[in-house]
Amino acid sequence: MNKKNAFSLQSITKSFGGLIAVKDVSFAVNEKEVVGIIGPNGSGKTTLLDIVSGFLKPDAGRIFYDEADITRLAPHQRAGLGIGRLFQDIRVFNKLTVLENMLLAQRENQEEGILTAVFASPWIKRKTGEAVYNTRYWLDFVGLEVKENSAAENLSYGQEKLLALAMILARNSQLLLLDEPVAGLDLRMKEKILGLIKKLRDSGKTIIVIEHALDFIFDASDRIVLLNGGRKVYEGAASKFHSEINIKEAYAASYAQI
Amino acid sequence: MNYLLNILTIIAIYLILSQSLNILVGYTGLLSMSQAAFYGIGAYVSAILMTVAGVPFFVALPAAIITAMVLSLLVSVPSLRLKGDYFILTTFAFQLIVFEILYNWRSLTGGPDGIKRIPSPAVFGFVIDAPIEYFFFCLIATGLCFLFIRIILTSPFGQALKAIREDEIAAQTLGKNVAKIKIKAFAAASGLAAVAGVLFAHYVTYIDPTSFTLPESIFLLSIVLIGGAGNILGPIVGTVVLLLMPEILRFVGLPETAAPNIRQMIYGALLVLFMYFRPQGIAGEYKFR
Repeated sequence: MNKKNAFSLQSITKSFGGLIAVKDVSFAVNEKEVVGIIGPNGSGKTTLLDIVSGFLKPDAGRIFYDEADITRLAPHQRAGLGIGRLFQDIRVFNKLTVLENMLLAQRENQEEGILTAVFASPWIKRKTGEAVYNTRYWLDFVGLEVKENSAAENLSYGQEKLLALAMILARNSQLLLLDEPVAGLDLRMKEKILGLIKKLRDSGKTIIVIEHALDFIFDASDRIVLLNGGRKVYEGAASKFHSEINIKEAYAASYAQI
Repeated sequence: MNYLLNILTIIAIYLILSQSLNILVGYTGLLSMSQAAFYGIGAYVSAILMTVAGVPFFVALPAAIITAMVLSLLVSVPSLRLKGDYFILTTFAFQLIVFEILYNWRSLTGGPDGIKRIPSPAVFGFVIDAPIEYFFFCLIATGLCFLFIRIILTSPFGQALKAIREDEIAAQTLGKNVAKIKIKAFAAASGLAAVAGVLFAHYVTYIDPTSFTLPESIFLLSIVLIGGAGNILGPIVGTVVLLLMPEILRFVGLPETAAPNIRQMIYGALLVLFMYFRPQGIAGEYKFR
């Protein structure tokens, strides 16, 4: 492992009680690469993302990011290293405005102290000014054409997804974990997200996408990892996937197992 | 006149208490059952330091604040790293333990007899002992506490608290150290409760453990939940309403012996009714439910 911002999982295993959710899964993602993870419901995709972002600890195996072993780090520490996650059920702060959400995402831990609040308000003001500037850039980047001061709860579903994406981008996240980024979106919004993912990849991000919409994921990904029953059953270039594997059979096999 | 001043002084002290608890309940989403314990810690530390060690008031005050903040770590560090309701249970236990210590450590706290003849505070040699003087002294202290609370709650720290209250998972993925921020909030709330305790001890000049019991903690929670949590106004309304209620009931002419019990029943009934019909309280923003 000596590539910058590269990410790898080594023999990750996780079970809940007697149920094995992920079994001995390994793969790597490089800078400027999109890896799509597919598989039927219950195949371990979201569990895997939870392990990558730190909400679940693997029973065995190790996780590397940017040349460091991050297996033991807490979620906020991983976020601090530049791992950004987009949730399947969007998690923006509804009671806050678009701008407040964006500022919250960009704040460093030192800005959020009590003593800082009392004694260093000029410094906070300056940092906030920079963050406001940065916010406009990223809202523009994702094409979120709404007022900064509207409450997040008034956004449409698609706009909330764009806001959530802008939030992790404004944090300067390098590894993006996108959990079903186009689920529930219309065709136009799907195209938009697809365009953004490609643009982000070309700008140097390392990206992992989970998605059930197979046409979307084959368009978006460079490489595909197929999970089934918690195991990796296939890994290869997205362009070769159809010639090498029959997806219907793969999905059908998993239902047969249940 | 002194009757009125007494009520106003007590209201000023309780405004600090309710506002400090609001930081936890309304802004962080933490239900704490130990606010009266930190109130008591503040009162006792200051009272003991001034009566036994003879230190000046402006040494006793920060000592009380720091003691409460340090002791708050005993609750927050272990419990806030865990998930779910452990925090409530830990504060509950802490409240009971503090009361037992105040009640039984006779050599230090005087046990059930409490501490008597607590001196009045002196500012540059001017002793504040007349009721009107003490009222204004409390008013200034309460004002300063409010200013401090306003500054921290409108700062990035306050916004991080609100974010944690809404969604801890999302806050973590944005790099927030949720446990650490909660520990800080709990320490701040405890320090402020200690300020109220200090003001109380030097006002009444005699304290005993019965002022700092679990029912007192529940009473403080009632103030915040009935008045409303999550903004500055709610706890102010709650404090005024719940502190004036016994005075009003007094004029209704309840029998002397039954009055305290009837009051408790009214608080309990109010709390249930509010939780059911108006969870944001009279003037609050946040529904704690």
